Amino acid sequence: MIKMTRREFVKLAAVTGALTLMLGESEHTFKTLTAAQSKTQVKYIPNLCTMCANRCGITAKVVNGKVVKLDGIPHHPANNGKICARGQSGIARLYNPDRIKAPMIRRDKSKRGTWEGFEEVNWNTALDEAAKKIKRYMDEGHPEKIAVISGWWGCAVYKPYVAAFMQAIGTPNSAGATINSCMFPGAFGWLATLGGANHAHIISDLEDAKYIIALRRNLAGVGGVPHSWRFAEAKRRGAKVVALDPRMSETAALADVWIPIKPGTDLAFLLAMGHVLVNEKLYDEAFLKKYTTVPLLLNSETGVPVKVWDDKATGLKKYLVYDLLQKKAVSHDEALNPALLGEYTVKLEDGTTVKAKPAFQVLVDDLQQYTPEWASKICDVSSDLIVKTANEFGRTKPAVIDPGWHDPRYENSLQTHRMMAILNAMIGNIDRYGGVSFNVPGREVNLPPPPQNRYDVVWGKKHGMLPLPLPNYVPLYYAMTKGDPYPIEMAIVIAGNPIRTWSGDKEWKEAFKKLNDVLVIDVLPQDTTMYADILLPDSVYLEKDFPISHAEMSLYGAFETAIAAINPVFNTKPEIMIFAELSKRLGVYDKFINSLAKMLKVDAGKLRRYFDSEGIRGIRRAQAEAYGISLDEIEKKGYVMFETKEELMDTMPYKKPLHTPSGKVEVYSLMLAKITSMVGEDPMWSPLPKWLPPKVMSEYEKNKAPNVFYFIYGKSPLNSYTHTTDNEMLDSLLRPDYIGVWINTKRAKQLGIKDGDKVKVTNLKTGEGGVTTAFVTEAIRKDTVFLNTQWGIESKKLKIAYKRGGVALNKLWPFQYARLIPGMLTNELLVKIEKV
Amino acid sequence: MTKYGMVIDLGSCLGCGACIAACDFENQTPWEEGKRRTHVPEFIFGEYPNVERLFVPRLCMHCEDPPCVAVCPTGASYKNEDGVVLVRYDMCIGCKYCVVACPYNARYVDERKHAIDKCTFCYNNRVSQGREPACVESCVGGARIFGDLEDPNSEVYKLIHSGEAVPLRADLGTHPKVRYIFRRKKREGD
Repeated sequence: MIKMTRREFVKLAAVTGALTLMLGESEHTFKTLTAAQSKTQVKYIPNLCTMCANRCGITAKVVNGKVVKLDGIPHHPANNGKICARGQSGIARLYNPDRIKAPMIRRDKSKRGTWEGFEEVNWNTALDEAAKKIKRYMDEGHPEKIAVISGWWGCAVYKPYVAAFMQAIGTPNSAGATINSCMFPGAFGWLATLGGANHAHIISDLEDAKYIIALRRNLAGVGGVPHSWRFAEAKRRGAKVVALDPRMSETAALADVWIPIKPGTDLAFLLAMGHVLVNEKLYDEAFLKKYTTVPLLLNSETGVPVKVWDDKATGLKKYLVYDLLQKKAVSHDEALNPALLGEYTVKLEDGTTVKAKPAFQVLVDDLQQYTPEWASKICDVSSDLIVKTANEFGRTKPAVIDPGWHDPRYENSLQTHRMMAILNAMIGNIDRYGGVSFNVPGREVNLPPPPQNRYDVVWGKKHGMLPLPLPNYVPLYYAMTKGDPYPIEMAIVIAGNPIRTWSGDKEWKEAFKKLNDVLVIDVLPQDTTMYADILLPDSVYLEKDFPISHAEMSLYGAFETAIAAINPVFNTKPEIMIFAELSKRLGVYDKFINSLAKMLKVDAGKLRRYFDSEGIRGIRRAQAEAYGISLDEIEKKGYVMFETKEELMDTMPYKKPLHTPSGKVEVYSLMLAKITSMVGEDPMWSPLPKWLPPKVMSEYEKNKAPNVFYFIYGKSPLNSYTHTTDNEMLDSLLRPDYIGVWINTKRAKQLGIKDGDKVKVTNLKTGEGGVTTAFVTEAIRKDTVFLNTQWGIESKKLKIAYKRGGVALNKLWPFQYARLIPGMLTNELLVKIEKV
Repeated sequence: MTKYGMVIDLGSCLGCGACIAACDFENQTPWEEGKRRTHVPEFIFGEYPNVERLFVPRLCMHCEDPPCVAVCPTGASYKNEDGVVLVRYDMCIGCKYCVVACPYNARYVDERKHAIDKCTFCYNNRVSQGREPACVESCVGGARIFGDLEDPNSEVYKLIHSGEAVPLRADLGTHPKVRYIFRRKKREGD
């Protein structure tokens, strides 16, 4: 009989990495364990979480070929060793019995929208048939009839690979949520001001901030670990947090001040903050003078810039300012002390004189109307609180307004985000500790002009919409259903779920039924997957290697990679291999490799050689060689750092110009000034921000009734759209507030609705909607209801998600879009609540 | 001597549920049946707009005077030399005295083990190997702090001895080694 103390036993167990399930100290258990140990093989393999777009570094613990636990990689630049419930639940996604387990083909198109008529085939047959369909369009000389549709997956993770495949088959046409129903309508405000989009390029340095304002985003609850852990860290270091949200989100719950602002009126609040900052002189004058466009002279009569010209040497826009020392108008860079205030008579080259004011003076004049008292009435927030917030923001250093992420909510989303960026600039916190800063991609923003033959660009020319760097999916509907501007007949859907996530549930169902061919690559049988003719099952991230990418959700420079933890559980393939195999069948493999090599900045010959012999690991090898990093190190650790936060900070616009037209912080936006000169004045795209009321405000007043509400939505901490759906672990963590409709106690009482009652939520105008439970609470405004996204799943093959029911938000969202930046105006609607 | 304990800072708990999932996978709990070692109940109180929303992570309190150990007829429930309350599964007869005796509702029946189960602070599987408990390592907000209550240099020691971290229901007299920091929050919304 073996005698050993518990301590000794524990030590032995530790050394041998024993299974921990049945620990005890009896002889019997000990024997069982030692027997198990001899056969137990434990491995720890670095990977990148793809349960949401933030991609935290993780380690998969693999015991006897099974992934049993996921942990954050300690000190990873994005997640600092932490992962959330979604990240932990990657295991439940991996082993989900609902996954698409083998390639499938359906020949009867009339069965689209159902699960009928699919037959399982082998990979060769599936790839041959898929290639045949694609080839037909290529042979006809119309590859543009194929549109590649992707979700955040294609945007955040697989962009170069999807793009290389598109270039190989010759279509310029892609579509995703970015422009219409994701971040761009707000991000355009940041792009116009700071030359980078929020979250993709611009991140706030929360942990070093002493004062944080969060709006239009649930930073703490669903910020993604890279943002949430820093939010909590900031709080621990004593930062004061102010949250503007009609509902008490997780962020508002943790904030020092919760401001339950009226939906869609944040812009009025921010404009009034601007009013206070300029009148109390709480701005960073030196910063504004040197690094922003506010000294730019505007013609006093016309309001347009006196003179703007191109500087050939730098490629940047130059403009006139008034130099108080030289007492004349000069180019901004030549001014020793550019004027911010006042009015000046400026002599032009042709000898004429004009009266002109610095943009800052015009801004100050404009802001006079936006008093805290004015905003108070619009926002339903006391003017004292606005004054107090503005003062604290202006006087606490460093302070920051978090840039947010998703915002296609209102037409004023653009100016709201502009004003967020401008207030940050006013206190001079750009690229400073505790301010807003640029991540590595943000330092080299590369938004090439859109292909001139892309459907939305052609459609825009015809229907008067500006070309945008990324595709706008509104015209895709017209191209798919009416051949306008030209027909799109085939969709290749890669981990996207337009049927469930794009505005206009009916429209997209109709469009997908009309297509000639639908090819879907995905992990789970989603609602869109039901429309496939050919279904190619993708592997889950834990089953596949990933090449090298940047750790974007951090303020460090770091490369990261993912190693397959196990072989595929089912008969699936990684989509990079699917693209390669399709390219080979289509005779465009060279093109695929060459395009990819160009985008990844690696040698094409090496890439091909390594990829042919080693698969995805070969891409990683080619990248490691080209980027000068150790393949061994990155494969062992999962990441390598190449720049510290210290090295990255204080760079733009101080040592390097921003990616704005002028290279400066464009408080006065030359891009919006150009748009104004092209299409006319409008508060939506005014070069200096102006108030634009949400349309829904007057609608609400007109339709006031006990059962009519403003509608807002968000994401629960368990959700990142299709990647977290139908997950047994996340489902087990579900709480009533994650699926139910939040309704204020007093309003619910008026309607006879009790907590947990079944209620119908419908769009007041369209009558579309769904049924869910009521979450009756004091933690929301009386005029507003709130819902979380990603419910109302229609695919019965998602057995866990389907039975939950709930309201699909895109049934509430009509097919409506904003001017200029066609956000789908996802909060510009009223809903009716009825007890079922 | 080591005496393990945990401090939970409610001002940092984001209510994200990372700890629950981390624990379930790490310890292979019967979570499919809703049986878990840690929970994060949510509380909303007050009247709009003076509302508080609070997430309060719960787990075994690893009491210094654990009633579950006192009532166990077989000695299966015990407190080990590092102060962690554990169950010897093979000695457990499933009488559930401990389940009833625990004032913090921290125990459940694990049918697969034919025994009562509970939070172990990941003592055998992580702590003894120099790692933190799974819930602590995963905690996104950094709200869970783990350490040695006897080590004056540990964060938990400092938080408890400064009086900042207090037990839940100290009146029960079980001397929990899991303590909470309640921060009074200002509410200035109108």
